[in-house]
Amino acid sequence: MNHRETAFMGRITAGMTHELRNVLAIIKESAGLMQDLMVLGKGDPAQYKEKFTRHIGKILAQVDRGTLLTGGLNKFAHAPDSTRAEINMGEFLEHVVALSRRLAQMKLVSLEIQPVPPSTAVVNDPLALHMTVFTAVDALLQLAPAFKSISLRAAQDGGRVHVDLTMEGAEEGLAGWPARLKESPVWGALEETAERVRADVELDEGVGRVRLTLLRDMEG
Amino acid sequence: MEPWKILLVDDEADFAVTLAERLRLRGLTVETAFDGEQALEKIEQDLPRIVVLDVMMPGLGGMEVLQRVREDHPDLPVILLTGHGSTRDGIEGMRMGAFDYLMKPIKIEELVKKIEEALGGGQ
Repeated sequence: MNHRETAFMGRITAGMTHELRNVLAIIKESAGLMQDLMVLGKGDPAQYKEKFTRHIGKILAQVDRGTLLTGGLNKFAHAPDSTRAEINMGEFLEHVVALSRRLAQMKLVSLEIQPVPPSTAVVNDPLALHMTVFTAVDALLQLAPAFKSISLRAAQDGGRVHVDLTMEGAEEGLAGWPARLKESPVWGALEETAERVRADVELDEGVGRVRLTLLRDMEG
Repeated sequence: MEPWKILLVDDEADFAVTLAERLRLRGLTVETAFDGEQALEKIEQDLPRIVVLDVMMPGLGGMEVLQRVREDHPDLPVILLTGHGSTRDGIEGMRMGAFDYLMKPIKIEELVKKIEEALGGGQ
């Protein structure tokens, strides 16, 4: 694993564990409030039933959120297990979005996945492909707040698969974005990682889209 | 005597609302804000005695809010809350003028103690 890959894994892990700390913080405050009411509250504890019910609901919701986060993190931890594997693009995009959602939220941008035909798949290096699509998301986020969301879709085209990332809800300030993107340090990282997965990168200014074109089998 | 008014700022609304309720149970007056812009508006409308501020928030982040507070209200103490497992953000925040920092999940007794320290003793 090279430095860029370890840095990428560190960045993803840091973001996910940061969010997990928020999950734990909410659970701790809800549990703490129930304890406070038992100790500091006045009168019959039964009067707090509605409040207890609400906070137990919050705790359960945060446990679900934490389970999703740790599931995503565990799946991500296995990405480097093999340098060549068949990757279902629908599942893959869901996973990349789970990993990058918080990064996008920080820029007030939402990530939306368009339906992917079930048979859409590539044979490629899973970690390098994660890094490529994540870096493409990161590159577009450099242009925020000039748009509201990024729509991700994958579609097969003969022996190739296109992964499109399209900026939606564009506002003023996107004119000439390809040139600005190419000046950003993230662009160099995207070009480098795209080469690893043998992807072509195209920028379409008119529709606000980054298109990654992958071979169905990177060795094919 | 009027109790101290604390402005608690965090984009995790469930966290902010519940922590605020726990602080109120301890006799403190707490307002909440759920993003940096809202926090700055509330500070301008009714200056609190202290701000408890999450570092990582969408849009205007905690460090930017801290910088604006330092410029406009240099005497207003700010305690940072950080979700990072390291002390990096907290130390950087103190270098920028924050009174202190706590890492999430916090211990409420520690937060109350730091609020008391920042405001120089009892109410």
